[in-house]
Amino acid sequence: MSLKICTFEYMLSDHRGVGMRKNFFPRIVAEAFLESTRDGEISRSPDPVTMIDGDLTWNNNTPDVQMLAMQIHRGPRTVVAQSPGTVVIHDAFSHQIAISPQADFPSIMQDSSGGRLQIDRPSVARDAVLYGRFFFDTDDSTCWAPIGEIKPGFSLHFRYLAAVQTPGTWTIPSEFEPRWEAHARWTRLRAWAFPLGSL
Amino acid sequence: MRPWAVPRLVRDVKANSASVSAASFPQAVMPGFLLMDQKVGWINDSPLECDVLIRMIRSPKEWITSNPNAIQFRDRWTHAIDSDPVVPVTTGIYNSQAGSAIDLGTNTVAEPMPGRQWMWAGSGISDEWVYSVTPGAKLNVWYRCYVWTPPPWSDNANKNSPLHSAKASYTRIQFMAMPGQGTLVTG
Repeated sequence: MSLKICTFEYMLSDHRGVGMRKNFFPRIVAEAFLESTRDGEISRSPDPVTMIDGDLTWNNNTPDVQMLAMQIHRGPRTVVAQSPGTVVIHDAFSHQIAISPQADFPSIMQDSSGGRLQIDRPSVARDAVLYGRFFFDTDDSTCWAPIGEIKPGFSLHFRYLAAVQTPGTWTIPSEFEPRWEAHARWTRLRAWAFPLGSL
Repeated sequence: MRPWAVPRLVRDVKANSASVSAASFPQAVMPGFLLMDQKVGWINDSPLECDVLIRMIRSPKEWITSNPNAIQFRDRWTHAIDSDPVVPVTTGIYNSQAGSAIDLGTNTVAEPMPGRQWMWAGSGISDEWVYSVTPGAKLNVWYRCYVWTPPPWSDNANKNSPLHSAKASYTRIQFMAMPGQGTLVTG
């Protein structure tokens, strides 16, 4: 005789027994690998110029509530800055949970990597700038963004943006060849889903 | 629930760094000075297929370089199931890099201008997933970290007063086994 017994959230039952549903296990439910489209030489950008832009969506089509956390894995970054200019790579993310979510533009700065080197000079004239160049590489790194509870039938929309900016002083020397570079390479987004514990 | 039915830390190995002295510089030929060299393996001891999360936790790094020389760390890991992974040399493909340089030019007699750079970089995590490790299969990981000095190298850096050092104390290699469903009901 096949008999299905009463089970709890996150469980399955059939005539052979009971077991855990997939949504009971902490797991990666969605992943996106975003590549930079603007790596290489740059020029003055007082306003941020987009290097990486992408998003990720996930719908909770399981019958139970899921806890979500986003893992943001940033690739190794590189900047080259000519004295006295600054080169910095910022990034930002935003999210929304709804039946049909549409996250806001990610504009708040979350993380940055970059630098500048300034050699003192007698005046700010282009031909008075002294030669100085700054090179900087940083390791890849990871951060977590807690998203929270997603009810069955609801979706997550997560957006990510990395941009290069050259704030402040900027002089293009006239007596030698300057060089400014920015490399953001990539960012990987991973959505982790967990069961919600007893309240 | 059996122990293997929940996510668990199955390996946690610290790859300690060899020390670099001033005499170790320059290292202008790739891959450079070998700082860390560590193999880690794990046999899936559960009756179910599982996904393994390889987590690399890099220690903080610090280095000092003198105008115009560059110092760069590079690391890489490789993995294989039931066989030896390829040697993780960082000459071509590598996972990550950290380093810096300042170039302040030279004076009229071609001596590098005086200038030193002190750098500190924080620790960080890098994850990689290996999916579907079957029961009884062995996952092997090989990690290496090198430090090198991208050429050209100046012997009279910082106006003939060179100072160079590089320190990355360790990388911690962790494996987390993430279980999936059993086969009784869903099989």
